[in-house]
Order: sequence, then C-alpha cells, then structure tokens
Amino acid sequence: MSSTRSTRATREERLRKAQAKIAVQRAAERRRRRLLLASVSVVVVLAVFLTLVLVKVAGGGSKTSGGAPASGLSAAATAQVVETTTHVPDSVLNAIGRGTTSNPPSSISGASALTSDGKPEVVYMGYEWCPYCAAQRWALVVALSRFGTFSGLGLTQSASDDVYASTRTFTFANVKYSSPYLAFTAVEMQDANRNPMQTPTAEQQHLLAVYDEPPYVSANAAGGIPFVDLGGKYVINGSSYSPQVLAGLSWSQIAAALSDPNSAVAKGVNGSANVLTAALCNLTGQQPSSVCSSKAVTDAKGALK
Amino acid sequence: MTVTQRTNIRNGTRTAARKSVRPAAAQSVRAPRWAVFGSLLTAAAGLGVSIYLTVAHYTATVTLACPQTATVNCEKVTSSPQSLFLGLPVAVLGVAYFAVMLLLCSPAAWRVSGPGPLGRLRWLRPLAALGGVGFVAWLVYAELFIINAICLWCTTVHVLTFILFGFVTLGAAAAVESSGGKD
Repeated sequence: MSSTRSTRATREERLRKAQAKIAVQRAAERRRRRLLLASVSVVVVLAVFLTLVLVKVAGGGSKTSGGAPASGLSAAATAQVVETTTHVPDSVLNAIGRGTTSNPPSSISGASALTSDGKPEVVYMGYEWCPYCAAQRWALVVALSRFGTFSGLGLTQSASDDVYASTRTFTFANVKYSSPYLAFTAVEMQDANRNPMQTPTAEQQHLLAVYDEPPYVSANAAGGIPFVDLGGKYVINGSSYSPQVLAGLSWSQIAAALSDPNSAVAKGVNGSANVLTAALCNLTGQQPSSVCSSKAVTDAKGALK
Repeated sequence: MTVTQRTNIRNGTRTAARKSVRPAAAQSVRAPRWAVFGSLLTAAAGLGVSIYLTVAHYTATVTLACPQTATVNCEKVTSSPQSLFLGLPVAVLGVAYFAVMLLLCSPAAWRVSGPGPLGRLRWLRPLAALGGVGFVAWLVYAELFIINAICLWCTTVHVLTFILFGFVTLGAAAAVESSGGKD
C-alpha cells in the first residue's frame, strides 16, 4: 500500500514538472508571437509614413494650401517654368513693347518714397485665390527678373469658383528676391481657399488704406486687389492685362508662350512687364542701363500714367 | 487504478501546474527597462514640445523658432485650418495626449496586471499609442498634401509619437508575467 502511494506521488511529481515545462514553453511561444506582431505593427506604421513622404517627393496628388489642385508638375518641370519665366529673351520683350497692357501703373504724388535697405521697394499685396493676382504675378516675375533674382517661387492657381477660374500662376507666399537695384516684398493675405494666410504689417495696411483708394485709384476700383506699390511713386490696382489670355493654359504652356512674340500670352504678360519695367527704371535711376535703355522699355514708357 | 482515479490525478496535477506557472494572487508584469524608461522619457519630451506649441498658439509674443523656406513653414502649418480638430487646437490635443501617455507609461502603470479596471491599462497603453500614430498619420498627410508645408516642431512631435508607439508596443509584447510582484 505504501509502495503504491509512493509510486503515485512520483508520477504526479513527474507530470507536474512536465506540464510546468510545457506551460513555460507555451508562454515563451506566446511571447515570441506577441513580439512578432508588435514588430510587424511598428514596421507597418513606419511604412505608412514613408509611403506618404515618397508619394509627396514623387510629386503625386499634391494640393495647394487652400485645397485647390496644385500643379501636379514634377520639381524639374516646376523649375523649368520658373526658369523660362524669369529669362524671357530680350528680343521678344523688345518686339512686344507695351503689348496689350490695359491697366498701367499710375503715378502718385505726395507719397513718401518706399524703400528697404536703401533701395526702392516694390510691395505686392494679393490673395492666392484671386484671378487678377494670378495674372499680375506673371508680369511682376518677368519684370522684376530683369533687375534681380527670385527664389522660392511656387506654383498655384486661382479659385475654381471665381471669374477666370483656375488661372495658373505663381505664389509669392515663400518668395525671396535679391537685387542690387530693388527690394521686393510680397504679402499673400489669403490662401487659395480664402483663409487668412500672411498678415500685412501696419505700414502695408496703411498703403492699402491710403493708396488703394481714390484719388489714387478710380472710385469703382477702390480697395481692389492685387495692389502693387512701386517705390511710393506708382501704384497698380488690379491686373495690368486681362487674365482671359491665360484661360485654360497650363503653367508650362504659359511659360512657353512667353517666348513667342505673336502669342496673346506674351502680348499680355510681357507687354505689362515692359510697362512695369519702365516704371521701375524711374525708381532705379535708369539702372541697369542695358534694361532701361532697351527698346522694350523705351516703347513702354509712353503707357505710364 | 480506476478511470476516476486517473481523472482525479490529472485534474489535480493540472491545477498544480497552473498554480506554479500563473498563480492568481500576487501577479505582476515585468516589462523591459528600456521600454519603461524609453516610453516615459519620450512621453515627457512630447509633452514638453506640445506645451511649447500650445504657448506659441495662444501667445502672440511667442513665435516658433523655425526656419522659413519653400518647404518648411511652421506658421503656415500652425495657422492652417488643419491645425484645429473638432474646434480644438491640435497643439492642445497633443498636450492632453502626452499627459495621459506620461501617466500610462509610468513604471507603476507598466507593472499593473491582473483583472479589474487597472489591469486594462495593459491594453489601453498600446491602443492609445496606436491612436496617437493614427492621428499623426492624418497630420502628416495634411502637411504634405493639403497645407504644402512642414512644421519642424510638429514633425518633432510626430517622430516622438512614433517612437513612443514603438516603445509601448514592443515593450508590451516583450513583457513577462511573473509571480510575487517582483519588478
């Protein structure tokens, strides 16, 4: 009887040990599975982030800040648009003269000179969604590129629910401009979705309040945007030419058309740029002379009001 | 030995084995030290950056120390419509999130186990971390494809959220249950 009990106890002990061992092995297996699952989760999350970045870098599916469709152009194509627009051949500009400019800069009297770092300052104030701003930016980029160099030019388009819908253009939101002759300040006050974007300084608000109103601009255009102040000597309210000439064209098509003196785009954009250049030459003391004595500027001078 | 006797023995040994491996009383979870302290430090860093972003959001005199280029523009991001979620600034949500995660990632919270509301922390922590990276994925999408600008401070928070997710998930998976409440 005693022998039977002893045998049973030994068997129980062996069974207990075996089951304990199995339990430990199962726990280790569960832990391995949990670690594998956790590692996969971390990798999946990382892959999601990397995919987002890669899609962005590849230029797919991007939108502008307000929700309007962006260019969809690759970085190289965007750079090409910027390069073409900032280097319109002199021969084309000379051939166009004042082109189809309909709203040249108006001289303002009694205003104090607008300067920055000792240079005449050009102040642009507009909205990313505004179609007239869209048109005016092309002319400003062409004109100012004759005096200096832009960086940070981005592409955007005007609102799709406004007149001249989805006019392709640049945005000045992050622009920088360097020139030995001029300073340039841009304020994009609202984004493509009409949300507040950049806030004008008190001085810039003063410019709007005073010089974007009669008698400096016509009563029916009072408070109009875009507003451009050229060194405190000239102002432009609205676009210098009709945005209609840009209708339905892509950024690349507009940029390419700038080099064709017979295109409506070149007559509008380059013509306005020439008139702007003529006004700017009056700020810089006709410097640089290669620009200010060119046929394009001489022809366009007559359009200044 | 009868069939009944064998069954009794099996039942008895099963109970004994269960007790030796997983006793019901005095049970605790031993998470790796790297997970405990890594998650705690990451949550604290995330809380710090979120507080900075919140102060900058509500204070006009505090401007985020952030370079402004064509790609990087903190102000554009923090003043965008996407900087609000259900009417609340995302920066404030960040403070709340990291404050909760700081509590969930305290060494005491990592030790909690067993049944009851406190025991659920074990699952709540990875779920909260997963929710965090999910929300961050939306914010990254918004920055890249809607706002078209990146905020460096926000990106810091996004990276910290991902690192926290890694610590919490891997730490929870690597945790070992032990008896006697040892750490």
